[in-house]
Amino acid sequence: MSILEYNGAAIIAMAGKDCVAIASDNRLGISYQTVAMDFKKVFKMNDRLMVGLAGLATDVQTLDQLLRFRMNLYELREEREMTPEVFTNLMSNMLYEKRFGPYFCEPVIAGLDPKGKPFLGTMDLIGAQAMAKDFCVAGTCDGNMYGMCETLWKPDMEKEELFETLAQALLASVDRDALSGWGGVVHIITKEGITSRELKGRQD
Amino acid sequence: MASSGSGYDLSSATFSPDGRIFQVEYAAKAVENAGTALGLKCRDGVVMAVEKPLQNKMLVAKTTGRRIHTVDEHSGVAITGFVSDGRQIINRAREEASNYEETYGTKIPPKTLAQRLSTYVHYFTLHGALRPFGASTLVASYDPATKSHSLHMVEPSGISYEYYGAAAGRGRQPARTEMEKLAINPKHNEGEAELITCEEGVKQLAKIIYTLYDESKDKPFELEMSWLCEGSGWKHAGVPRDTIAAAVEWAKQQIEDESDDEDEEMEE
Repeated sequence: MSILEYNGAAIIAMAGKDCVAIASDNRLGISYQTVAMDFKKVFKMNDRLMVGLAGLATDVQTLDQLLRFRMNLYELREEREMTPEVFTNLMSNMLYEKRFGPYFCEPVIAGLDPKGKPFLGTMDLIGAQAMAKDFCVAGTCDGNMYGMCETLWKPDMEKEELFETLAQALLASVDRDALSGWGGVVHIITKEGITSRELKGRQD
Repeated sequence: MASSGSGYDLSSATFSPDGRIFQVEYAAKAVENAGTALGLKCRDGVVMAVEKPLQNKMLVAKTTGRRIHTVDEHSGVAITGFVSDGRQIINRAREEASNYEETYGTKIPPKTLAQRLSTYVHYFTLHGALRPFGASTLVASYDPATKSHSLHMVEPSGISYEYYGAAAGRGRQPARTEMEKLAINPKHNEGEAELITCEEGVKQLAKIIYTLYDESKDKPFELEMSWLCEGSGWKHAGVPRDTIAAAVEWAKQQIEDESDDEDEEMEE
């Protein structure tokens, strides 16, 4: 199997009315063998920005550390918070720097821009950006996730409905994928803050 | 005249017993001998002016020896002192601005640009066999994220501050006195609305330069001006030549009127 499928992952982010939500599954595997059912793949960068990383687990963790490092330095030097657009650009740059020896990771970025409007972005492992108004997905079952999202998403959902939609899309997608699943976690970002909920799914 | 340094001034790697680095101070002297550079933070933008002494009657004026350069759409830099040293700083400023935009996808904020230049200039005051820059840099910049404009000045020591009015070069002391009289500091005026606009700033800077100019002592000069204001769409641009010409006319008239007033007062 390809290196991006070695550990398994499923990440979806969706935009609602003045809110965004991002969810991931919990599985960490070493090829076919499941090794952990509580592996974190979505990381909080600041109160209005989260990033989900799908791909090789070691790169997921390293990128989380590197991104927090760069963000902290930026905030210290510039004395202001990083906006999602700037963060996306920074990440794209970091990934392309390693063009000929890349991080095997495909990120999904979800946040609220300074005006409070939803921001969604994703990129490939070498930093090619793609922004979306509705949803962004990454992982070993991305085909399934695209299908579920396309069917279930509608514009201007409030945060409760957004949570339901996202949860259903994720759980249905990972059920047909051997490499992702074992439950999930959903984070909803509004201007009040971030709420996180655990999802109970098929534990197989 | 400052002390001769007596041995502590041979390298920028040496402190003097009274805690000074003479080489850096001498670098500042190099700037003091050069044409005056002025910067003014006005209500709706920043204006900069540099007095360019025409060294040689054979010089093709109006084109060569630019002192003010655009660093990025939203930032401009004016130099005085050793012009060739200044060029290095300008090139570095352009690199910094370009790199920042590539990495973060937004225009470099004014404070960050000034800080980067500070760090760069400072490096030359303590590394190896390098000598300090003999140039002061005025940085006019606009931050699209916060919609605010600012003026910074970076000195050869690497120090940089944000200013309402900044002056470097030959006429900086009298220039500062003149600038203090202008309505540029909100603290000394009744709030923002009373501050002068860029159009007024252009005229006032022209007046300051001409007030400082002494025909008997100084070489003939050319006046280079730029602005970064609401009127220019927050892009750094050269002030149009006819605007400068009009400002110079106004300035000369004002100076004449004032000296006439003085003469009248004296007669009384």
